[in-house]
Amino acid sequence: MTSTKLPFEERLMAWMADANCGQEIQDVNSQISQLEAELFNEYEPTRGLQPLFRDRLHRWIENVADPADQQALLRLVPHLFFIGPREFEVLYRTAFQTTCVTWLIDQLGLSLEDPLAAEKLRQASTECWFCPISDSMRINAFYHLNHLSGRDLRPDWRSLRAFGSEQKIIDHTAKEGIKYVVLLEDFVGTGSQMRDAVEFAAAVFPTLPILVVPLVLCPVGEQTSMQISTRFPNIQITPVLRLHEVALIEPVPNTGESQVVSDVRRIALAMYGSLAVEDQKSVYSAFGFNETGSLVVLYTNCPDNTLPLVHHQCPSWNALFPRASRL
Amino acid sequence: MDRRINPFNELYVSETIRSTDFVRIFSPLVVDSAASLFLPGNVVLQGVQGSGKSMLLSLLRPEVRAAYLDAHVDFPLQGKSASFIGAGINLTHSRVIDFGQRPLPRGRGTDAEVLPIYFGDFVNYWIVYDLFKSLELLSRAPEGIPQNVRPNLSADLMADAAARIVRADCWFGYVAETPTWDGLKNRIAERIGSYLSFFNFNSDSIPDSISNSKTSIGEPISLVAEVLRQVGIIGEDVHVFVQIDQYEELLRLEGRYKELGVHYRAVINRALGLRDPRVSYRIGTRRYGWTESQLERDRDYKLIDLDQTLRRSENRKTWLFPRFAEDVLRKRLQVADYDIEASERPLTAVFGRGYDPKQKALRYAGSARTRAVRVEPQWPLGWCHFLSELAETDPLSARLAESWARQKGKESIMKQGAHEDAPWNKDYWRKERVEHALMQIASRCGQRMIWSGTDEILGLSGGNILIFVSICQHIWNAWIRAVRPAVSAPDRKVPQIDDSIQAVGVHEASTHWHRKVTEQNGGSSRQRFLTVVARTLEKRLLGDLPLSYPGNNGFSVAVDDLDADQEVSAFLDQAASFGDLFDSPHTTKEKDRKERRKWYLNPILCPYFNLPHIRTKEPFYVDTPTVREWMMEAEILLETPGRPRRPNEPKISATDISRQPTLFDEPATSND
Repeated sequence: MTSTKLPFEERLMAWMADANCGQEIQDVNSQISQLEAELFNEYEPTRGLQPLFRDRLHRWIENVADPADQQALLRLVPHLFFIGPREFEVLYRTAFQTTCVTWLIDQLGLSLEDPLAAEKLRQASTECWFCPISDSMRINAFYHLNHLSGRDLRPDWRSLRAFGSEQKIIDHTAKEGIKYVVLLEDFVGTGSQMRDAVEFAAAVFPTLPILVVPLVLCPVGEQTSMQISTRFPNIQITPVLRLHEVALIEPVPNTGESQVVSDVRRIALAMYGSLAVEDQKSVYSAFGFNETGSLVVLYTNCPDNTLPLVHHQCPSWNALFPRASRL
Repeated sequence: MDRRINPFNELYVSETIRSTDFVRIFSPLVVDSAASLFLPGNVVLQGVQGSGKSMLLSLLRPEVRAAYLDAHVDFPLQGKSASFIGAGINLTHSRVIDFGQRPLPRGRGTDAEVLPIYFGDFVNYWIVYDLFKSLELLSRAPEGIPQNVRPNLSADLMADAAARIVRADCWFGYVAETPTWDGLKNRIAERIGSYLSFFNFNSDSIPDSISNSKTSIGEPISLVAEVLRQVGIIGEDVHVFVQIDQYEELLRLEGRYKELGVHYRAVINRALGLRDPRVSYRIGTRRYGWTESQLERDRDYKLIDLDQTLRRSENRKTWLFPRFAEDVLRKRLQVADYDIEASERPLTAVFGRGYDPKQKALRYAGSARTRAVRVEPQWPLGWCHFLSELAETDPLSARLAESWARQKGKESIMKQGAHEDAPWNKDYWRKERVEHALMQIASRCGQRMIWSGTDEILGLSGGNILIFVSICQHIWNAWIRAVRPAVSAPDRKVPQIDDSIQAVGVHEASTHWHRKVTEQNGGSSRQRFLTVVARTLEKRLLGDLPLSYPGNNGFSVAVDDLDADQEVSAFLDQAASFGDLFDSPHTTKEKDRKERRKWYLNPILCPYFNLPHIRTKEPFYVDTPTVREWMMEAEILLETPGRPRRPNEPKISATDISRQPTLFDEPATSND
């Protein structure tokens, strides 16, 4: 049996043979192989009759012609923050066991010395209504993982805002004995989607305590969160995981950023410039929606706040993690 | 068959794999070299990680023997060598080293006095219980087991044996009330359970019935073996082999329990020192785990050093490792359903012969081949033209010709018109310098050195089967990535893996083993030291333009110097005992004829450090102050002078040098 090497792999081998960058490229390639096996293959939008990750990687790297740029894209891959199903499970558990419970303790003004503290807390948790902000948040899994029960209806508030009756919502909470509302979202980039839904909730429940829990929150979304909290005193927004600026590739360079970040910024701008007008509109900017510059990829989908060069698929660009767009 | 499955995914063939799998992938080729392991008498089986100790010891396990019978495969041991019943303890899996992790309630004696006795007692009971299990398993084994080895577990013999065993003094009455086979077994299990319960904090103390009946190491085991023969459960000619594996774990006990490791080792050593003909002990240990003791080699025990057995000696014809590796490869491929019958030499079938040196040089040089040579401004133009032209077709020869001209007294070659005789092509001269020249060509052309082909893979394995399998694993992974074989292929032929793919796999394996250095005790220090040494040697080799010292990928120190600087000596011994450096005596060519030792990097680390792995000619001669400087650069030592060892002062052992300080320790010798 002969060994016919794939052209991209042959190129990769040539890079690995280089005395200057060979060891680094080899290490990056090993990391990518490991991430592929453990995480990247979980990406849902490419399940089924879609190219495998390694094939998508080949095509994605070949989007650019210059070998130095190709290497920069390769180096970017281990920097992507891919959140797989098991990572989400941890986020779900932490959201309830840490964020929600701490908030409930504050709401109840519980003392640790109170012998009935545990019982009061358990009772309060049954009086919570845990709902998703949008349909991307898998609220079912959140309930299951935290062994929560007793709530038949768990509507997403983005849809409620569009189609719901405020009075019916108020009637439902009264009937169900709901005293607390917890709104969850898997990923919050700028916070614009979250703002609409949360403002609607605030209008429906002007006095009911509301906790908003973004599982992952970008820095720009944090500003939105503060604005909302300031406007509505009954709303508290507490993320499980805050992303730091250094985890982003923003339009303005950060001091001391690594070479791969600078290289990818240049490639992102060049890629955006070469896109057709419709494609440019669909990806908002070279750094994604509202120039967030995120590197987050969720196993369920890639947020539009992430660099378009990661997720945008069009005739002139092959995506690494093609985004399943709503539109 | 699914070609995307790597046949080398499972690296280890030890006690953790299923017996049925063991039968399929065990290679019996090393059995003959470890013959004394299967004959009466105590044996210490020593080797670095992955040398195959646990694999060999697995042959003593009755379930493995039964698995051979089930699979209708000949047991690798026959005749007298197969006349044994095995039982044993793995010091890690049994949790015996947990003694000392929980303080004992105050009672008779200090922890240091009492814990080793409990340790020995636990070992006794564990092994006796395991021996009972072995007997029962072998008695039920399929047809084919030698008649003298199959235990006769008839009811009357078992009753007789139990009655005799419980009467013996060595138990201090603990089993006296259980004079039946099952009752005795249950009582032993109960005692082991009590210990485990205590380790897990499920009980407040060790019951009085145990603390008042602690046994002496080895005595119950010998007694049971004797009784089994007396009553006829096993034949008079059947040996009882007791294996104690992972002995080196006793060195890894942490903190204030560290000193207990010394006592625990003394307990095991005492069992060997008994030289009891009724039982033979087999100790499996890594090289650093077996240190000087009161025992006498060849009297109290025989030593089998697997590293020495499998590493290459001067005579390649007697080198066992290539056949061993080939057999391992064949079996792995067979298990993966490759059609291996057709290829007599699977190693060559898969890995080929590799690049020959000329091809390698061409590959390094790429399209700008003249980069392989460097000329001096004062050199005659004709000579420079000649070198450039030669480099276009044969960069290796051009580089060798360049070095010839740079050697003292050989400059005249540049003035000669024709070079048909090409003295740099003389076999003896060329052979010793090829690897050195290739290293320099790779460097001049901005390439990493590459390794591929059967001989180089065997060479990099350094006689260690785990390293060989690990190289195969990485190469196979690189092949799967590079050619993306079909999931389902009717063609079962083994692939011949391209040299460039092998080169990638070798580098990945080397990186893996470089990182593994830190996994072992004191490994971070040694890894830093290896980096300092490798950079020093690389600089020397690259700077040696006449290729006068091609053997400088290793270093040599006079034994007198080593004796005078025990810190350096102990550190180098330690690095060798962990397998990071390979050491051997060095017959010097210097006039003083001083006895020397030489050290080379473990060959698998050479690709990572970009050094040739082949040893040739004279290593780099250094003194201990130089090694001490390397150690200081690696932040292992903080002070310069090495004090000579005083007369009668005990030598620092290789294990002492790695002793790590703890919060409650006295200041230690190492700052690791």
